[in-house]
Amino acid sequence: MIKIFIVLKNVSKIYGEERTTIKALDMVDLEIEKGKIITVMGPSGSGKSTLLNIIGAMDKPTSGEVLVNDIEIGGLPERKLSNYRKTQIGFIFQNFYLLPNLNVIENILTPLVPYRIKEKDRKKAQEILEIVGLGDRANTRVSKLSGGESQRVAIARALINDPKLILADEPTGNLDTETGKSIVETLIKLAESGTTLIIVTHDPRVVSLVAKHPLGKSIWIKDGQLSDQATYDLDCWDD
Amino acid sequence: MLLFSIKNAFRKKLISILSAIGVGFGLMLVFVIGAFTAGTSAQFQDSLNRTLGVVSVTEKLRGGADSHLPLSLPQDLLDTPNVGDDILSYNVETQTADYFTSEYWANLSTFGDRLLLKGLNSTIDGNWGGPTTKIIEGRNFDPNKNETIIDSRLVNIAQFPVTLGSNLTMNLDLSGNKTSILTIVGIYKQEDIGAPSFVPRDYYIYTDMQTTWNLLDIAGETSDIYTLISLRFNVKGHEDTDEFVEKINDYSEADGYSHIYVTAFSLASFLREIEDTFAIFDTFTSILSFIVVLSGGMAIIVTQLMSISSRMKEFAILKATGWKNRHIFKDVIYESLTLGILGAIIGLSIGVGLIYILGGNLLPFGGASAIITWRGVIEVIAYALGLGIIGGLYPGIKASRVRPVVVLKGE
Ligand SMILES: Nc1ncnc2c1ncn2[C@@H]1O[C@H](COP(=O)(O)OP(=O)(O)OP(=O)(O)O)[C@@H](O)[C@H]1O
Ligand SMILES: [Mg+2]
Repeated sequence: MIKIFIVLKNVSKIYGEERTTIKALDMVDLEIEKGKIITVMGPSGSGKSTLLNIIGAMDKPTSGEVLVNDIEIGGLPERKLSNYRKTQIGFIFQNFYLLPNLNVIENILTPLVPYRIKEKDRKKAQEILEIVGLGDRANTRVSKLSGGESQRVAIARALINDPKLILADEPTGNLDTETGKSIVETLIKLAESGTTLIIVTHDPRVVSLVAKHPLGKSIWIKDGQLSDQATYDLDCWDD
Repeated sequence: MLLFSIKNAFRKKLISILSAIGVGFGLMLVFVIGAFTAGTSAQFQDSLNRTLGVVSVTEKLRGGADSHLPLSLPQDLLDTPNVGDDILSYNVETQTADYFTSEYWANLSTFGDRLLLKGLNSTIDGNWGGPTTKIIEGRNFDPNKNETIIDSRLVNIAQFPVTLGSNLTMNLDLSGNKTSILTIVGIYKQEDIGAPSFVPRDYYIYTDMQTTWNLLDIAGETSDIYTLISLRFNVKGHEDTDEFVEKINDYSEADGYSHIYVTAFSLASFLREIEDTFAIFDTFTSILSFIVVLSGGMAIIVTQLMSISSRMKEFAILKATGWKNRHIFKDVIYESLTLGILGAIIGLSIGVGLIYILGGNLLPFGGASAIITWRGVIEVIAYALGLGIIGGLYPGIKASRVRPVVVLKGE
C-alpha cells in the first residue's frame, strides 16, 4: 500500500492586511505519496515558494491543515518545528546559501554544529560528498566552487540529517542547462532511494525530465491554486 | 560550535579587529590603573606594617625643629610606669630649622618638596635600625666631622651635585651670611611612599648629633636638645600602639616628665587616616571600569549588529537546517565572547608593556610601583567575558528571532 506522506487540507496563505492582501495560496488541497518526485511549476508570484515554505515549516499557513509524515505541523511550537526541520526536511535553494568562510565539508556539517560533530558525522559527510560527485573537494573553500558544485554542496548539506523529504526551490535557477540537468539527475537518484522530493521550478526541461520518471509527478500552480495540468500558456514562463 | 563561532567572529575582519582593539584599550586602562592602585596600596600597607608599634614623641603641640626635648627624656620615657617595660628600642633625632636647607627646595622634584637636615646618634640609631644602618653607597658619617648621609631618592631627583664627596651648604641665618659645609659621605636606602609624584615629599640628610648641635649654636638656635624621640613597642596590633600613645600623653598631663609636656602619637594612625584617600582611588577605578564595560559593550553590540544584519540569510538557512533559536543565540554570544577575549588579550599585553615602561622612572608615575596581580588579570578576563555577553545579548536575540521565510524572500 502506498503511504500518503504529505497532506494539505484547505490551506490558504494570505499576506498583507485588509485592502492590500495577497492570496499566495488559495484553499489548496494536496496529497503527496511517499517516495514521489514532484515538480511544482507556475508563473512568478503564483505561490510556489510559499507552498514549499509551508510544507517545510518555514512559514505558517493562514488557515488549513498541513500533515507531514502524520505530524500536524501547524500546531507545533517553534521548538518542535526546528526539530521537525532537522529530522524530516532537507532544504535546497536557488542561491545555495553556503557559508563562504567555511570549506566544503564544514558547510555540509553546519546542521550538526549545535550537536557536537563526531568522527562518524565526518565520515558520513564524506560519503554524501561522494554521492553528489564532489568526493575530492572536501577541503576546498566554497567561495572557490562553481555554481553547480555549490549546489551539490547544498544538496549534501540537506542530506546530512537523513531527511524524509527534500524541498528544492528552483535548484537549477542559477545554473546553466547542462549543470542543471545533472543536478536534477542527482536529486532524482536520491529520491530513488526512498526520499520524497519536491522541486519548484520555472524550467519545463526539469518538468519533462521528472515526468518521464516512474515516480515523477507534476503539479501546476497559478494564482495560489493547484491543478494537475498546465492551466496556462507556456509562453508566459519566464526563464 | 565554539570553533564555528570563532571562525564567524572574524567574518568582517577589519571591524572585528578594530572593535577588539577598542575593547582592548579599555581593558588595558582598567588593568594598568588597577595594577598601580594595587602597587600603591601594597606599598602603603608595607609602611603601615613598618610603623606597627612605633610611637613618636615631641614637645607638646610642637613639631619639627620647634620641638625641644631635654636630653634626659629618653630615660624618663623608659622609666614611665606601664610603658617603659614594653619599649623594645628607641631612637632620637634633632631636626634643624628649615632655613638651613631651604635654598635647595626649589631644586628637588615637585613644588612642596623639602630637604631637611637632622642629627642622629650613630650608636642609638644603629640599635634602632635607622638610616645609619641602611647605607647602600659610601659610609656612615663620623662624629664631629661635618659629614652627612643622604636619602637615596635624591640621587634621581636632586638638581644639585649629590655624589659622594660633594658638599652641601647649610645656611645658618636667614640672610645667608653664615654658612657651613657638610660633605656627603654616604647614601642610605629610602623607600618611596608610593604616592603619585605630584604629592610633595620630605628628603632627609643626616649628620651626627654633635655637628647638628654645633650648627644650631652658630645659628643661635637652641641646641643640646632632641626634637623627636621614637619608641618601638612590643605590640600585636595598631590598637595596642594607640594604648601606649594614650598612656604617655596621660602621664605627661599628670606632670610625669619634669619641666616638659610632650605629645605622643603613632604614625600608623596618621596613615590609617590617609587610607580613606585610597578608597577614593578605588571608587575612581570602579567608575572607570564601569565606563569601560559600557563603552566596550557598545563597541561589541555595534560590531555584532552590523555583522548579523548582513548575515540574516545565513541564520535563516541555519534555521532551515534545524538550528533552534537558542543555537543561533549561542553562536552570536560565542562570537562576541571571542571579540571580548581577544580584547582582553590585547589589553593585557599592552597593559603589561605599559606597566613595564611606566614602572621605570618615567614621569608622572616615577617611583610609583605597579603590581601585576592575578586578581587584576582575572578581573580583566571577567570584564571581557561580561562585555562579550552584554555585547552579544541584543544582537543574539535579534539574530535568533529571524523568521526564515521573510529573509529568504527576494533575490
Ligand atoms: N512576506 C510576504 N509578504 C507579502 N507578500 C508576499 C510575501 N511573500 C510572498 N508574497 C507574495 O505572495 C505571492 C506568492 O509568492 P511566492 O514567493 O510564493 O511566489 P513564487 O511562485 O515562488 O514566485 P517566484 O517564481 O518569483 O519565486 C506573490 O505575489 C508575492 O508577492
Ligand atoms: Mg519562489
